[in-house]
Amino acid sequence: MKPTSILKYFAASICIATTLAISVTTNKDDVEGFFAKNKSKSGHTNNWAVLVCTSRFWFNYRHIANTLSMYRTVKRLGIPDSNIIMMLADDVACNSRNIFPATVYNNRGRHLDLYGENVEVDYRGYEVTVENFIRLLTGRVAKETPRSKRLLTDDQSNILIFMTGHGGEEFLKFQDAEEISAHDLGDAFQQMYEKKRYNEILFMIDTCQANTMYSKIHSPNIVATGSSKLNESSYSHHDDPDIGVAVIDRFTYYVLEVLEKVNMQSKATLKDLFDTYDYNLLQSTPGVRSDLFFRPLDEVLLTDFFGNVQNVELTESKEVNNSLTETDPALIDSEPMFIEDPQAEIASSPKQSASWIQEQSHTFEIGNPDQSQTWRYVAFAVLSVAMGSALIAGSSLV
Amino acid sequence: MAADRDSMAANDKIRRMVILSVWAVVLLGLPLWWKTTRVYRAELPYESINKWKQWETCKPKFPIRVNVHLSEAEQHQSGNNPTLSDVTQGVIKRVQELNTARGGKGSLLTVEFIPSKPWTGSSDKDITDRASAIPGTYDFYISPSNLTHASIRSQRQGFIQVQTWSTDHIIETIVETSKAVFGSEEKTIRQLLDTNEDTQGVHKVQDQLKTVKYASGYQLTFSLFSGDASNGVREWKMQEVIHAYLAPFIKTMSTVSKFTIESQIQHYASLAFTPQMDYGLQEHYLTPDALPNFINAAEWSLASTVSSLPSLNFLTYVPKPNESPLVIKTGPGAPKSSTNSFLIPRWGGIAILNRDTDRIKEHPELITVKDLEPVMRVFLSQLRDLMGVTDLSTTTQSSSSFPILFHKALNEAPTTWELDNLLRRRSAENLVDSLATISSLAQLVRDTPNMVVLDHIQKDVTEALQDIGRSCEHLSRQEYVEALAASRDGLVKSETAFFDPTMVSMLYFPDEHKYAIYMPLFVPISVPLLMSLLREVKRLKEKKQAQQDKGKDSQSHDNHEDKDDKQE
Repeated sequence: MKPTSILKYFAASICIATTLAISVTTNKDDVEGFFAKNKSKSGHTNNWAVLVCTSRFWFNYRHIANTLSMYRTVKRLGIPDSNIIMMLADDVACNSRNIFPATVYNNRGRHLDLYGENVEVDYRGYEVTVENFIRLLTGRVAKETPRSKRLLTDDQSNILIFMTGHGGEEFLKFQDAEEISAHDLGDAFQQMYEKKRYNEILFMIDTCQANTMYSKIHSPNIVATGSSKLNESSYSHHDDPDIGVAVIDRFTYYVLEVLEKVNMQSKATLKDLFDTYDYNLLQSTPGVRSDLFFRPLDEVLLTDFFGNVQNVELTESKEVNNSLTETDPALIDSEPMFIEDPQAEIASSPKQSASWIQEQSHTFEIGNPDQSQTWRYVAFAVLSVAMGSALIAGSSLV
Repeated sequence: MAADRDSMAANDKIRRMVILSVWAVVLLGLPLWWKTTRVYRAELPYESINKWKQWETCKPKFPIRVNVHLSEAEQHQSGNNPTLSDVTQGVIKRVQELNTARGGKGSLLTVEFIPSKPWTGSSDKDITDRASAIPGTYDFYISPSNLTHASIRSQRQGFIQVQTWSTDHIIETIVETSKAVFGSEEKTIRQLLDTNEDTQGVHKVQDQLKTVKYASGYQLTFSLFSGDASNGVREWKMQEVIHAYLAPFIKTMSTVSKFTIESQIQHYASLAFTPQMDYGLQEHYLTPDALPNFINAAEWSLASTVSSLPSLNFLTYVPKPNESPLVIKTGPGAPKSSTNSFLIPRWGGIAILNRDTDRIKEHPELITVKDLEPVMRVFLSQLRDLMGVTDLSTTTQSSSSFPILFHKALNEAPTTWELDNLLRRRSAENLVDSLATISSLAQLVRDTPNMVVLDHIQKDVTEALQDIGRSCEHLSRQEYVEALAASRDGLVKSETAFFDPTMVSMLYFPDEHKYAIYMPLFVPISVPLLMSLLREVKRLKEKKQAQQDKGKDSQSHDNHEDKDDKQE
């Protein structure tokens, strides 16, 4: 074989390798432009919640229980059913394996039936699909969709989005048949931002490798929290020997422990919630992403997202005889600024191990993205060289 | 042998034809495959959208005509009579001066002062002309008096009294009145149309936070919530009250939006918490910060699932007998709220009704019209706020140097001035909103190259732009009602296009997936294709080389022979 032809083939394979590698590198989006423009304080006048359980089958009982527990919390704190969209991919209450039919419990003691009364499930069973979820978020539902299945938010709505199920690196599995990727979620949120369909969003996700799911969000005013980082699983908390399956996940369990102490007048903030995250209890590293959120987390009340506390305005009478000294309506900002928070102990709960808390800084939780890029380059180079040499080998044989 | 060589040549030819034909299929198939795997994308009018975003196609202008009527009743002997034309020209000049002083941005509400027929009266009872029925055309009647005073009547007429009957003084008074009436509107509209303004969240003025978004129809729900059944309330005369009190408001607002009205009664609507007790005055009270939790959303059913119109709820709450009377105040001994009611932004209003003990004795089960009258008054003023009807009197007090009185219409209905204000502001809002929707739609279509864009979306966008253009033209011709209607059409069409169910882009597939799918199909078949092509090329080259060599050999042979000849 002439050395020039070897060189020629080598050059060809290098060209192929670089074109392939270039095509798969992702350009980091330049999000710098957003930040300077948008500095928001909470200007919301209504609250919505979207609670999604994506798993089906009996052994995923705990995911249904997670979602129903969140539903109960959100209702207790004041969000009406018309503003809650709950998606449950399976019906475990009426599953034939449930020895306590028509009930769903989230703890072994079975103190509280989550499926008892006054529960409105908007999307159930096979209606919980990736397409329906994205249509719900972007508002592009079919024309005959009833009002209870639409997300009728406006630019002054704060939305809580809670998702639970089985997930992996930048994807979340729906119904064991399809998956939604972090890019799709980021695109959906971007469309919501373009159409001014939200004021602020709290995105909470409890799955394996949950923190990767919010890595591709690039719209402003979104704070995200997940239960575990890349290559880490999220674990269930405990199971009920009578029911036979695990009944609640760790992350949701410990978040609920904080939320159960919150009432409608509570002054507890998101920072208080995030400070209670503890690796020893959760056995996974939860993450918080707040670089796209412009209020500091210690000023964001939990009731801004989990409750329905609104600014009301007292109406004062105007004098009837057209005089000029008409009183303005007394504007009272009813954010409960002067009620002492009785739950102050949330903030001062002892933190058991402080070292890993550094990971809750306001940056991504995924692995080093540049590192995976290099591996992509290398992989494709090797692949193309292999193809090239196959060609060479083939030609030399003939 | 020759026969072998011929057959080999024939074989070569056949082989070459085979390879070329296979490659021809591949080369023809590539563009066909490319064309058939492209998604159908109708072309959106990007250039028009861009031009509209910069307001190049039509800049919205809100022309206003003011007919100036100068009183001729009093003719000074001194001969110093201000003439109408002087006054009008002076006013125009002064307004221009003020505009340039403000930075020369040019005003959006271009007020045009027109000298009109003289007026023989001297007080506002002498104004006998019919008021203008065209939104945007107003009449100012000016007369001398012993103090400077302006009175804006509920029809499109303004009555101005000037103390010093001189041209300059009259000009100043007219200009100040006009600024008082139109100034805040100009500011609001400018803020809306300025594309660099951020109107999200806290940047909104407090008033804008509580105003609902514009819609062509609203549903009003009047609910009676009774704490429990022991107060005996069974019915209320809301229907009569609505007919009596709400009708003027609805009628005046019919050019802007339509209203559907419902009412309901719910019993046993208990509060989620217990109100505090003021033992001194023997009354129960709620503090203002308990009010956000007043609505027990879990148990009170307030949402209507039937209609798709945006809804506003007005709640009348009759507390339980053991929680009556229930007032709103900050603490025991503090003054209580005069109306016992509050407004929830973009949602509606709540009034707590403490029934008169005498009335309870008379007919415990009925809430009469007289009981409901103050409640309805409160609801009407809350409805004004929610609809965005600005109360002109509150916006002008600080800026004018003389008193300006704004007359009210019957039952809190918007006056014509307020209605015109609403028409103009809502038109501007709709224009801005529909343009924002269309441009974000265009941005979305550009950003997702693999999303299907059907023809009807293109049609909707084009028609929406046409509606916006029509609305802008109507605005410039001072046809405000038509402008609002056109802007409403544009808004509806742009929202239909944006929220079309087919506009969901294909889900994201990483490039590795695409390679993983195509590689097993194409790589195995491409190896023999490429190899055979390369081999043919090599063989051709060798043959050419061999021919050249043969030619060279024979040449050198000849040369050699020549040389030999020469040498001999």
